[in-house]
Amino acid sequence: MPRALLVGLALAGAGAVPLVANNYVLSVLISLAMFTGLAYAWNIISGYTGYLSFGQVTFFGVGAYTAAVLIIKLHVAWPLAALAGGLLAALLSLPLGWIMLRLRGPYFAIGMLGLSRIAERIAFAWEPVTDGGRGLYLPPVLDLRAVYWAVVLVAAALVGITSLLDNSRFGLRLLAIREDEGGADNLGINTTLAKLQAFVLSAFFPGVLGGIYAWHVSYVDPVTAFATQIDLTAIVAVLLGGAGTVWGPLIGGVTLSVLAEVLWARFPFIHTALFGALVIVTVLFLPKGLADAFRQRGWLAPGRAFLRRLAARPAPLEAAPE
Amino acid sequence: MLHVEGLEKRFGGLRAVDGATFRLQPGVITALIGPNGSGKTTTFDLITGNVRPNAGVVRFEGRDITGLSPWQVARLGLGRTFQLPRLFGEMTVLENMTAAVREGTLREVVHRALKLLDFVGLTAHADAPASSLSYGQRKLTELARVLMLRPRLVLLDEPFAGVNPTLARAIADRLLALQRQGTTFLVIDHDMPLVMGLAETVLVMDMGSVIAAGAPKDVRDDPRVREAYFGTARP
Repeated sequence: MPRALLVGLALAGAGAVPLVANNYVLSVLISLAMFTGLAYAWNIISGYTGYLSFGQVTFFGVGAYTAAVLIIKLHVAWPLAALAGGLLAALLSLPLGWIMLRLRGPYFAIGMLGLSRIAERIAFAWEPVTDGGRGLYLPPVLDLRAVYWAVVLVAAALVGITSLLDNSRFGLRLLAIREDEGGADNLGINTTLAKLQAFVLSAFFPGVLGGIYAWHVSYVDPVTAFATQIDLTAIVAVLLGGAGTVWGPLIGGVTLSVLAEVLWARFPFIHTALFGALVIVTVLFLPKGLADAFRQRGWLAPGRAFLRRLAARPAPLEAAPE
Repeated sequence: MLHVEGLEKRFGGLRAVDGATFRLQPGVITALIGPNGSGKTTTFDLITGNVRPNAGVVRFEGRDITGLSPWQVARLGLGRTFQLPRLFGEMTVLENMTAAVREGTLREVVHRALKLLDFVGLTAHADAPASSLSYGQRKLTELARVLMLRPRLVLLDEPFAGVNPTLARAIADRLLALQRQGTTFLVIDHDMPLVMGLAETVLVMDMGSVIAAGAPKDVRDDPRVREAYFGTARP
């Protein structure tokens, strides 16, 4: 199967990079894969389900702190600690999602932003565990390769999960909620459950990535772990690449990371301004993102092919419905 | 089949539905008519759980469904369509048909969807985004989509409004074909000749309650109905 071969080659290629790359390149790639992963996670709840969240960083921060505490106080191996960070983030997202997903549109977006600010305040105040504003120090990481492999693994898993989602009835239910939640409800879709499932997925992976991040930078403090900037970067990556698509977050994440590096290297003083201008231009001229532009040029296959494939070779039609 | 008793909904001081009571017989197309603002759509919303009643009971096939959520009502086999079709615009017609179906393998579901699209004459549009359809095509898609749930009772809110006469006739013929196969319908519409030819029973609502029920010709001659529509005749 050429498709499986392609996936295998891509994974092998990505996995082999640390064998030839130096630490600077690895750092850049870790950051790229990290934000691409965060973009994929955001894409599930916001791109597919249509619930624009400005607060998924809450779960990134929870994952970062969980992993840091487990590593420092209980000497847990960092990959397990990162996984535990994801699990706690997912567990926490159940009650939070139950409450927050009652809000819609801008109210949900602002509500999630508020939630992340509350989380940051708790991290400041809960000194016995978080050491407040001083932050938690972890042992320094000397070998970046394992971090790189972990982040790439998570990002690749998210590409796979999104691809499955895009070709599943669960994915269609999420899209239906995005398009018309009341209409979906009246067709028998348990919208509360579907939204919650999407929300948990969009919390688990940022939690894992937060845990890896804590290990990677060897330091966690409230301001960086719950930084709105982290959410905004993921959101811009998805919007640039194409929300509610399989390849959008990857296209956006890679484009964004490369541009950020180039702009930063060439225009060290105004690179953030140029970056902002670029985002505005993209939203104005490519409101559906690069993935849509690529599709129109035939460079990228249209998404959600599973129904079309089945419909292309149907059983013979009968005149009346069952 | 459906048993509505003493249904009541107040919006502030307005009694939108005020003690509506009626029964639907299985396998029958029933029309629900009445002047604008008489509470027809609110009655639909109350039956399907989109609006919670202040009082009253809704029973579907003997089961109390008052206060259930719309998705729960839909899963029991009671489907509805809307005055303005509520399609999932950025999804294709086929995806619209498939999204909410739970039973069966995907292959079976797609097969059934294609058959129903054929039934409403939209096979050619299966892969088109729903947002690209004309108004009439949207009405047909919404009808086909609700049929995907294999409902035993379907509430149709103005299926003929804004649809050209040929298409309206086509929709009516589809409904009759489905009725012969055992589906029950409750239809709100203002197209009197069409409704009178389609429905075996007519319910008339005015000021939030059902003021008359019976065969089309009996209802048409009922003085209370004439009064509701045309006002009191002065001697």
